[in-house]
Amino acid sequence: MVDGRFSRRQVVKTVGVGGIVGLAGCAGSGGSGGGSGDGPIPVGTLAPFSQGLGWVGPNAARGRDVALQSINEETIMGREVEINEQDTETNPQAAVSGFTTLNEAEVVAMLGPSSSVIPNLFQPIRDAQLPTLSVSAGTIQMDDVGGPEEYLWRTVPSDAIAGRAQGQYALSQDFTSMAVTYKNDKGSQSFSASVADYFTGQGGDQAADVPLENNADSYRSEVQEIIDSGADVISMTAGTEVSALFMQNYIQAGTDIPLFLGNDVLTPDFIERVGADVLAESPVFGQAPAPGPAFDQFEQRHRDLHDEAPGTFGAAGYDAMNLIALAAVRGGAADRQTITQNINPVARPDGTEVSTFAEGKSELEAGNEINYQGASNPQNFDQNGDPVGPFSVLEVEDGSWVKLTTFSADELTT
Amino acid sequence: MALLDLLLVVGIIAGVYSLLAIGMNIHWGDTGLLNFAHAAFFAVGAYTSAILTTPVLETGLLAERVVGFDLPVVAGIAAGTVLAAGLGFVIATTSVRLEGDYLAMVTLSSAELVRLVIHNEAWLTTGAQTLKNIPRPLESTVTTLPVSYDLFYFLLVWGLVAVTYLLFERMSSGPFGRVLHAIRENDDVALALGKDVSRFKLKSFAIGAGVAGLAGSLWAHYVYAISPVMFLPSLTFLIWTAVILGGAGSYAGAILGAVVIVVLRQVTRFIPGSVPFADQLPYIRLMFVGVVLVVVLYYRPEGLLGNAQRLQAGTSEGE
Repeated sequence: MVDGRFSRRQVVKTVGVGGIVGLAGCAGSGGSGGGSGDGPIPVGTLAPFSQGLGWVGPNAARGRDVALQSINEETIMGREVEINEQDTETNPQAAVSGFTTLNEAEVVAMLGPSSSVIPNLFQPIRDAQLPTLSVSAGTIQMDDVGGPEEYLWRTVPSDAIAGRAQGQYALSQDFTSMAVTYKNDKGSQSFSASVADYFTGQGGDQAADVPLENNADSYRSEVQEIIDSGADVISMTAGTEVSALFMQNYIQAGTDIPLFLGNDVLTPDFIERVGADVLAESPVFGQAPAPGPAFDQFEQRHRDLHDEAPGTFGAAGYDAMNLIALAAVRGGAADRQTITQNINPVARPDGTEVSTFAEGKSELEAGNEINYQGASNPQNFDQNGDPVGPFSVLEVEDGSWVKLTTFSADELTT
Repeated sequence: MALLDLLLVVGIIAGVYSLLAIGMNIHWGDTGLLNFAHAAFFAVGAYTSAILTTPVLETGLLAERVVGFDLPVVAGIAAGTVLAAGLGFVIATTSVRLEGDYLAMVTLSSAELVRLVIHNEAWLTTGAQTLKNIPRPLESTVTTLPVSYDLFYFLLVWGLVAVTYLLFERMSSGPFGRVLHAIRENDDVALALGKDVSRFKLKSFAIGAGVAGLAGSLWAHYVYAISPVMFLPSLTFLIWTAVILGGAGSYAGAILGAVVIVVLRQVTRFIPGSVPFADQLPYIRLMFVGVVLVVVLYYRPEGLLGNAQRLQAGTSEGE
């Protein structure tokens, strides 16, 4: 190399090595054969396994694996399912890359990602005609997108439905003035907007709207702002880290304004972090989708397989995997179009109710229609591929979350 | 076909990163400016183009954006490039007299400032929510042709990379580039020769920022939807890695470095989830890039296509 220039040999060598590395990597995908042939059926999982929402992917994958165990014992037309897992890194750019990798691997369906990246995939999913069931996207940006024409469903309810549950409970307790506070990110904004919209739509008053910046050292001023607003109830959606710090400052402030928490912190981990006694003594409530009809058996099988209770979105992962497998069985083929056309039919209300893959497969092979009843909710999809189901309000008692009341799907949608 | 599709997508990402690396190279490789605001220029290009080319159609609770112009894509891309260059000029105006670490700190904080403005000004940018439905250039025309849209976009991006490369190569070897090189080696020398050092630095900063803005516009129109989490400082550091890996001062090296980084990150996506530590892959992927960087710099301190003489300039070996 002379005067900043490089010889042709150097370029050829460098490009050659880069090319070999690249092609070796691409060849490693194996081409999998897609949905045809006798080999395993490739199914993708595109979820956040790292960065901000890095806890979502592992939870959903553990739930998925519970379903997978049964599916691979029973098989789909003699074939097992093989999972190709890709990490969105809670980042749209990595999600696009992961999606393309799954598409190249010819997966026949995909368990889809969270609210933070899914808008980037609406069009690629349509273009690839790849049936996708998101296991964690509650965002209301997805309310008018989805269904078989868009190849997109989700197995968790929209934030709009969840927000109604929180709003209804607040109104039923005669609260008239609500402060909403939320982590200043996409998912939390979506949920808080839904709660406030429903609450004010029913005659309540929104006293304050207080965003919580991530990585703050303290939320004392935000807590004080809420107290000063005169609100008689607080709705907070902020994830574990921010919620825990906010709770600490809320307790230090000595206020007795009731506090609603979002469903992503209704975990044993959050109780341990904040303190069971503190949570039991404070007027703190949470709301979460009521467990689906198949939750108990799912929970037991989850404990048997993983030696731990299912985490948030675990049941949604279980349901998504079962729905994909049952759709393939009903259609008699494991390809993208067949699965797309059969997701809604296996969850239709007029079929025989089933709650496991084995039951569903048996009914379908007997020529009967089925209505899959999920572990996370009944999985009755509307025209946009969104499930509607009941929600429960919970509080902490003896170190765990216990149900106070439940709102039915009808109460939440009418 | 699926493999070809994958290669085209990886190629498009590599092309966008190459443009970012070219912009970074004029800052660091040619002028010696420690710029840590590249993600901000990328973001300004992306958001400018997206806002100008989308109408305000969003409805619902999260639809806070009230600004949208529905202009042709080419206008968006041009404006994104110009506005990013303008931002580069503004940041440089306030900080170009700073040296080394101080300039790095100012540019890094400026980038975060820009990202936080985008995150919080929802009336303009949709804030933390995704700004979606960004149109792709000539999509309706290309879809009637017997070629895939990704192939068209790949050719468009790499065509722009080629044009940019030729322009910057020519600029770098011309009188303007020679002044930048003199500034890079020693400000005082350029000053003693009667050159307006600050002005040249401003120009360098604006030009590099403009190219990053162009990359941002191209990226926004390819991925349909953008949000602030796509423009974190980690993107800037990745482009720095690409430039150093390829060889600071070499535009071909900057492009090669960007391609190597993108390919390395994509290759590791084929590692099956069943291998030990698979759940740590994103972090291992970054470590892998770091190891490659260390290995390359050990054997070729000047980078893959860098100039050894440039590395030695100003040192006892180079005198």
